Amino acid sequence: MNKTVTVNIGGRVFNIEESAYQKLNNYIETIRSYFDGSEGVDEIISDIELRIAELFMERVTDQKQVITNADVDYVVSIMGKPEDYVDNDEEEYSESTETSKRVFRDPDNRVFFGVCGGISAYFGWDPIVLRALFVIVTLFYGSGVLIYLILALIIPKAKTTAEKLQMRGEPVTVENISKKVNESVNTMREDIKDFGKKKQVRTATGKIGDFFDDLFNALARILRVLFKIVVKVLGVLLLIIGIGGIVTAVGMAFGLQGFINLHDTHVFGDHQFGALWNGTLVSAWQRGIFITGIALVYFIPIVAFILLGIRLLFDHIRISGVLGIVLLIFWFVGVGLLTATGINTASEFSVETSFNEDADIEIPAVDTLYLDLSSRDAVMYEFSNQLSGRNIFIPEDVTFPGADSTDYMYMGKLRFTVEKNYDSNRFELELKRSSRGSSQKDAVANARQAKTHVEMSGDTLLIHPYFALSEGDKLRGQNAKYILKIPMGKSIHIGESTGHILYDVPNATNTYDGDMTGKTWTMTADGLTCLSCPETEQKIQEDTDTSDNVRERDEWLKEEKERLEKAIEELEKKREMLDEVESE
Amino acid sequence: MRKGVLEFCILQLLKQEEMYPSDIISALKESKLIVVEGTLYPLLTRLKNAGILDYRWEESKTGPPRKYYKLTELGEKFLIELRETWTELNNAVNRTIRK
Repeated sequence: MNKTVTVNIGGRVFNIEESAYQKLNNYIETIRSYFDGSEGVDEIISDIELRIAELFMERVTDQKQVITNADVDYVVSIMGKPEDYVDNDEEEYSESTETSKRVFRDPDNRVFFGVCGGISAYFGWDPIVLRALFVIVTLFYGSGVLIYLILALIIPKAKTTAEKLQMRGEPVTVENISKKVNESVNTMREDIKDFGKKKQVRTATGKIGDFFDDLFNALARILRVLFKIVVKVLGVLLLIIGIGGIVTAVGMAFGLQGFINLHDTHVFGDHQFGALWNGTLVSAWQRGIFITGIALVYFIPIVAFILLGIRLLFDHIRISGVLGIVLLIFWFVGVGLLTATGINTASEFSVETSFNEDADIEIPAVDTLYLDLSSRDAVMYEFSNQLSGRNIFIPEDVTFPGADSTDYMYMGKLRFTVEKNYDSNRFELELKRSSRGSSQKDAVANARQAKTHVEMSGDTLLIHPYFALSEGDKLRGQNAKYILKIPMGKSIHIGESTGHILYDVPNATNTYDGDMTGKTWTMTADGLTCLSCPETEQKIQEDTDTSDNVRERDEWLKEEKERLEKAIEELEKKREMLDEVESE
Repeated sequence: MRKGVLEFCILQLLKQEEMYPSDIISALKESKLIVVEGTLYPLLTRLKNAGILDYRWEESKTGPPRKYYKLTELGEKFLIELRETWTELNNAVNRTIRK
């Protein structure tokens, strides 16, 4: 016993078994979907229904009044399977099936938002692979989470059954493959047929023109396919760049932690960068604004890359213009923050000042003072980090008297020079400090923060080769120079190891700083003179100093002398003449 | 190719007399040009929309009303052109076979 339903096919009434009705309905709807969107779809369907009605009429007798599954099968065998209806009009159809596959988030197969499930369904992968990949990427400072959230925001959720089907696309079965092959063969047939037809219809316009038309169409089709491929490749590239950018940036952000909390980690660079960073942008809010600015300026293009990449890869995803404008605004906000930080920091460097103060040290009244470094074993660093022209570097194993190495973040190269002491007959030591700041007062305060160290040991003046700034001090291009005032007749022995701190030490023989070490120099009227040095060395010094200027001047003096002598001779002659006149 | 030939045959049949789809199908089935009827309906609709065919309704004693198709003037011209192509093609094929 089977339930029947009454249907109206082509204006005739039929009693049909329910399962047979389902089958027939599916059949007609499938055909309809094949022609969906093409011209005359209703007419084709009604023609087909008329024919089906006719076929059913033949099958119905007084003894057999109900249409069964067998009758429907018979009709299908006569009419053919839905794909047999394919005509050349179906080019649109075959394209639409390809693009009808869309990416959605899968609400039925999800861990968080169903991103992995949906993408896997789209490509026919096992979701576990993608999920594992995300977990691995998350290990890189959690950047996987960020990428996941972006994807979750962009990809729509599959809400209706239709969307869920679209998300999965068609399963790859032998049947479907053969169907696809048949479709393309049919399309080809139509193309060949059209080729001939066009030729005949338009003989008047010339066969060569037609040939070029067809050639052009073929080329256009190839170009379209190539363009599609290029777009997809571009989409993949943009996605890779975007995701790479996020991974790098998140890695760097954790690196930033490393140089914000200076001693925690060496992940990003070394101490020097962190010290520069902390010393230049002193307050936490300044650093915060700067980092926010950097993040906005950097991340927004990355996000835009990912959005564009997804847009190019999946045709149906539209990125709203509002989102673009919002991103652009935030980008400009980032640029604004960076500019503000830049201007603010520049103002911190706007005033430069320098002043001298007495060094707090008593130098005994000796005839010869010995100069040496207080930290003989200190490593002499190459000063490679230049900050506003000053040598600033951050030592890792240099100690400073009275402090742990970790208390002092920055050390600069100390300078030493001498002057003649006109006022007193004692050795005196002055410290010349210089720095930049937002105002004169600020610059002076900054300059005072630089700590130096000198001590006396017998008749030896020991100078620490660096000046130091504590953690938390501002780094404003500080500099410190010791000036030793030497009275006339007193001497200084410049130690062998002090070459690093000598800075333009004036002397009577124009000897370079580096050549002054290991010798005793005495203050004379001409400046520092090396009395203990061998004469030959002095001689060589003079010879090398004989320049063209000196020679010219000597010649000029000689000429001048001759001229004056002649003038004197003439004057004497005149006087003799006058004397003669007088005597007469 | 096969569909082009199919089209040609349908027009050729309709030139001789008005026919309704079932007649056309049985004629084509005899010459084994068509296997399933489904193929015919979209083809007829397309030719009708292109102005090559026209139809009129006729009541049937045994079933629903039937569409009787016939060639239009344009269809006649188109058929002549198709026939020329066919002759050319036929000759070309024959020449190839003989070689």
